[in-house]
Amino acid sequence: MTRIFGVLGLVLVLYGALFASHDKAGEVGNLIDVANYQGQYGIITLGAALIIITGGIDLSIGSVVACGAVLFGVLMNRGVHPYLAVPVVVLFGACVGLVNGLLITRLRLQSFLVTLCGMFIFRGVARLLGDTVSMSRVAQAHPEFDGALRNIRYLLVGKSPTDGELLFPAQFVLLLVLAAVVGFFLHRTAYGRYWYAIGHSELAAKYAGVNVDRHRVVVYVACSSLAALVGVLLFLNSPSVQSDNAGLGWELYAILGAVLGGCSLKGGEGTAVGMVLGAMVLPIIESIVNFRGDKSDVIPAVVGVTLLIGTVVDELIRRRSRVHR
Amino acid sequence: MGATVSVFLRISVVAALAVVVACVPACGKKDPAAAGKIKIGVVTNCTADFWSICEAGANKAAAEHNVDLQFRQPEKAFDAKVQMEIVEAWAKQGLDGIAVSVIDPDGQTEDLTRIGKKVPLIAMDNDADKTGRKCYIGIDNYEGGKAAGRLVKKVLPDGGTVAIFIGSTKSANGKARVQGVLDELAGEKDAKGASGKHPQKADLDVKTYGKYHLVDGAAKEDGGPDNAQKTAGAVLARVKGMPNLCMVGLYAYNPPAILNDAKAKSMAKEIKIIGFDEDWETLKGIAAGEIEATVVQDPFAYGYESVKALATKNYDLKPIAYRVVTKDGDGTAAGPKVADFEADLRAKIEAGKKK
Amino acid sequence: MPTPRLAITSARKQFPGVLALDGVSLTLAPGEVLAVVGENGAGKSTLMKIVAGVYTPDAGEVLLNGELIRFPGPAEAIAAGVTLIHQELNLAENLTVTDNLFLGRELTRGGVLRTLDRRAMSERAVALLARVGLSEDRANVRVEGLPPGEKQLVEIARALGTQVRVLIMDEPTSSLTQKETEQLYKVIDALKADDVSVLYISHRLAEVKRVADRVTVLRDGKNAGELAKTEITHDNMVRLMVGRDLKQFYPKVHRTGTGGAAVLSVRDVRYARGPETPASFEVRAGEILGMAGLVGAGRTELSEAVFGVRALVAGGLLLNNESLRVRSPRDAINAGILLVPEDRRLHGLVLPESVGFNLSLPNLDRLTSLFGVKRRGEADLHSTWISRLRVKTPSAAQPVGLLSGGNQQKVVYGKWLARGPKVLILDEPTRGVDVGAKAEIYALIDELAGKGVAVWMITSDMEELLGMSDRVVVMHEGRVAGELAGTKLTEENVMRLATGGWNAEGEKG
Repeated sequence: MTRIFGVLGLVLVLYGALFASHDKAGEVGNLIDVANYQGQYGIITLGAALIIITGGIDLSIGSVVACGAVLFGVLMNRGVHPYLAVPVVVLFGACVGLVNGLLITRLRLQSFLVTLCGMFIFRGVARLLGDTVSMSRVAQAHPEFDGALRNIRYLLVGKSPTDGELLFPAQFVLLLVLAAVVGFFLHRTAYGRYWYAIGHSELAAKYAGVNVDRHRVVVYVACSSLAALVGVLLFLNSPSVQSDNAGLGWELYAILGAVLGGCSLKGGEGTAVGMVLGAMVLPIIESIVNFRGDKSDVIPAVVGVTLLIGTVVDELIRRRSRVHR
Repeated sequence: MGATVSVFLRISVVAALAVVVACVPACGKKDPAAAGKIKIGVVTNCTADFWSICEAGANKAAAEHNVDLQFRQPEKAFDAKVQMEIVEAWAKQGLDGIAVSVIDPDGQTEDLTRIGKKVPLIAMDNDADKTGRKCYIGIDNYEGGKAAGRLVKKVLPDGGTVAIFIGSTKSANGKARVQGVLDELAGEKDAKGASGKHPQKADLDVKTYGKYHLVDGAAKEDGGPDNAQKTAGAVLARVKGMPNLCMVGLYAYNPPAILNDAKAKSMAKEIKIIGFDEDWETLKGIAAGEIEATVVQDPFAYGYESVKALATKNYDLKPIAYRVVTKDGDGTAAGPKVADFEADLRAKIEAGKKK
Repeated sequence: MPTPRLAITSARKQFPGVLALDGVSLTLAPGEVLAVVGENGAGKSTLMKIVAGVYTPDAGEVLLNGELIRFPGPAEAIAAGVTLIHQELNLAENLTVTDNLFLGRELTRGGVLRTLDRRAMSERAVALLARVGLSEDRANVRVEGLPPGEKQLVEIARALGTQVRVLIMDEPTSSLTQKETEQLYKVIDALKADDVSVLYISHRLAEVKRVADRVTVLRDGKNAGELAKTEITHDNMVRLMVGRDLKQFYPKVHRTGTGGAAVLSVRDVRYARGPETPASFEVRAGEILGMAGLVGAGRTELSEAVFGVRALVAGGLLLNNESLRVRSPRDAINAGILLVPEDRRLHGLVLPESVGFNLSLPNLDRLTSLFGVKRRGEADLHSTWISRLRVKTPSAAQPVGLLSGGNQQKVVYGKWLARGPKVLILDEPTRGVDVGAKAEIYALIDELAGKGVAVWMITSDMEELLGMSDRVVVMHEGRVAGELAGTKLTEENVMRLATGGWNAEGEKG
């Protein structure tokens, strides 16, 4: 609970700073814009947070996002209907997670190492699949898909089918729906209990009869599926997607969101509400920077300082609540 | 104990953030005189010296026309999404004009068209002609490529082995420049080249354009500024010892990257280097005789003309001409001496610096 | 009376919500071994930490050689000759023994660079190791490669290197074998001869009897009494610790004996990376089968193999005469075979989580509906087992790691009892548990066996083994060395089998 207040305070302070930064920053249009990015980051944050709760890490998220986005475009370029391409891409993500999970559980490899390799491998796969994909290129190759694609974009991103105007923060709505699902599993079902138990003490969970390996695989599958889904969103939301830099570094944004939201990198802690709040931080900062007209050069520094504060707070809480004796 | 922890944490988090947030506005504070000025934004496709020169030009025009200028060089290179986020934010802020070095004309057309209806929009450096932009400010990249091709022919009149390096073979300017070079070498339009092995080195795949053999049959994508030297080095190692070598670097950072690696391999004397753009290191290399020539665009003019056009709403402009910088010049305005060119550039940048 | 080496008068220490020490006094003469005993939570650890400079007392005085002292921290205490050796050893596992002996006070050749004087250190290291009976070839071994007993000795050697006058040992034998413990006693005797005073904390009363010159008993943060060398008996100590006589410390009120049907039969079992010799035995309904053996005899490994943690490579299990395949703990749990593991902090409990979380964890399959975990059912389960086992906790939401060892152990029992065990495997069921909770746990085990549960109890505590078991199987180097019951069940016979004295056939016949 304590951690929720921390990140809630952070989000409120940042919104205050956003309103103060420019007289037009508080207008509904911009808030929708910010919310949409929050949704995008939030969905990968959910996945990253689930893995962090079980005591693992996934560094391949950004590359899987790129793979998902490029695969989505390439599939449609090759004539796969958009409505079919979406589930195919998510299924691809699930397979990636399955491979990550099996390597980590069956071969007892460290998740950091496996997913670091995955980061390079799936970036490479994305580049092999294609270089630049975009809605306009799909529409050129298959004009018949244009309408369906615009409908999907309206549903998932909230952009007008006619001129691409952002009408409502569909990605944020999607985040809330997915967060509700994650929250249900995490806080209301046996699965969630097992994930927390694994994160705190894998051995104790094993001795209590939890199938630790299976649950680890499940969270990796969930994380990579969500990353691939965000790849679809990125494709729909971007003028074009380049395989070599789409989603670059997003795994770190996801981990940042999860940690700010109260997940401990040591595992075993985190809430669904916290994840959503944690993921809301970065887009607000980016919007502030955009509106202030600051150079982009300050963005990495601000991200770093925010992450540092998150870590310091994490450490303070850990020290305060460490089990004595 | 839980209650004390929570209170302590809440206070510390909020206090720490208040400090950060207080810092961020402080560095972005603008002068109060900005009120009432024309507000113009210019966004580039990456961070580079090239764009800093452009920024100097933009600043000069901003000072002359009472413009409140926002000049952004996105740190994430060639990412159309990041660029559009900036443009969308400007449109929401109600800027009076926006200039964009369009990264992906195809993909960005829909969004730029929508924004162009609200805000006067011009394309610079790289065009997007289906967006209804007010005008394009830049050189003709195909012609620039042909100029580089002519320089290759000049340094290797009897033919030879050529490698071309570039950041992206897919972007509009990249495609046009590469095709310009190859067409000039082949002496025909839309040259395709003939695939085969190098006549003197059987393990080297080439495509032959006229008297010139292109290493690996295509322009080499260098993987960005960080990897450009590595990419150049890999090619240099393979062609070391062959006669009549010419390396062509078509993005600003390529010529210094090639030269650096050639020096490391003691090949600087063996090869000829033809460059593009006016990286300081490139100019130094020309002055030292290590780089033959560079085809320069005029980024200063891009910035200056873009801001001036948006501020005066006069979009009827002549295209900007490229120039060829060599050590001794050719006596014309289009072929300046490197020393004069550099002095002129430094003076312009000094004049365009923000007060 | 000469000036005592250490004197504490009316020490008081208050923690939020707990008065840990309420006016405790003790004295320690030069060259004396004083055992401090008491239940967990009696204030032993707090008292030791005050002496060692980890805590400062709220009231009361600590006198060292007659001088009033108040250490700002452990470093100052060590400098003054007072060293605490923790229950969890504080050695850098990745460094060599010599490096550890001089950690933080390396001998250098001086100068700005402080280059290490390796020769001087290794010479001194050999001398220090000799004093604790370790051979010099240990000096350059990495600590992680040493057995627990030798690690303990290295800690003592390190303390000797600091000119220790008062050595505080907190449960020094908890992870030592019998042989290592004997070696430790010898070292303690040598320390006494060197005029070092020792404060010795232990739950193992038999040990206290062996090693202590005097015993101070603490109860609820107060002095409960003191026993001179001649008065040190098990009963006396327990009486003072608990504050009452323990009539039925090892109860046998519910059980009927060893005549029940075999519930679990272990047939020629071998497990992965285990000994070549297969092990066979059976556990019967309504009995407590004790399993004895030296550390390393393979008892824990065997129980883990039966519980599905380790893979079986040969042999099989019969549950009520039906063949049973166990490939994971889940299989064992579903079959009703439940394990209370040796290391409850590592294997038995998710320490940072709540009492309720831990009670629920293995039972969630029975508490789940379509809409997730049934909160009502869960709350019932928590309140039932907290009250039935008399777990001392403010609520089910209390992190289990904050409970005392005995109450933690009760939670481990609770999570299994909620499932209704057929076979209950207890590995060191009362390790680190204070006397009061021990009695409760023994009563509980007796009651369970009385209800027909087959109890398989692995223990290294001889009193517990003899007091609780109906029948004992002794392991030696991975095989079943023999079985003892009735009049043959004596300490002597157990030790003989455990050390390979008789072969199995000779005893069984």
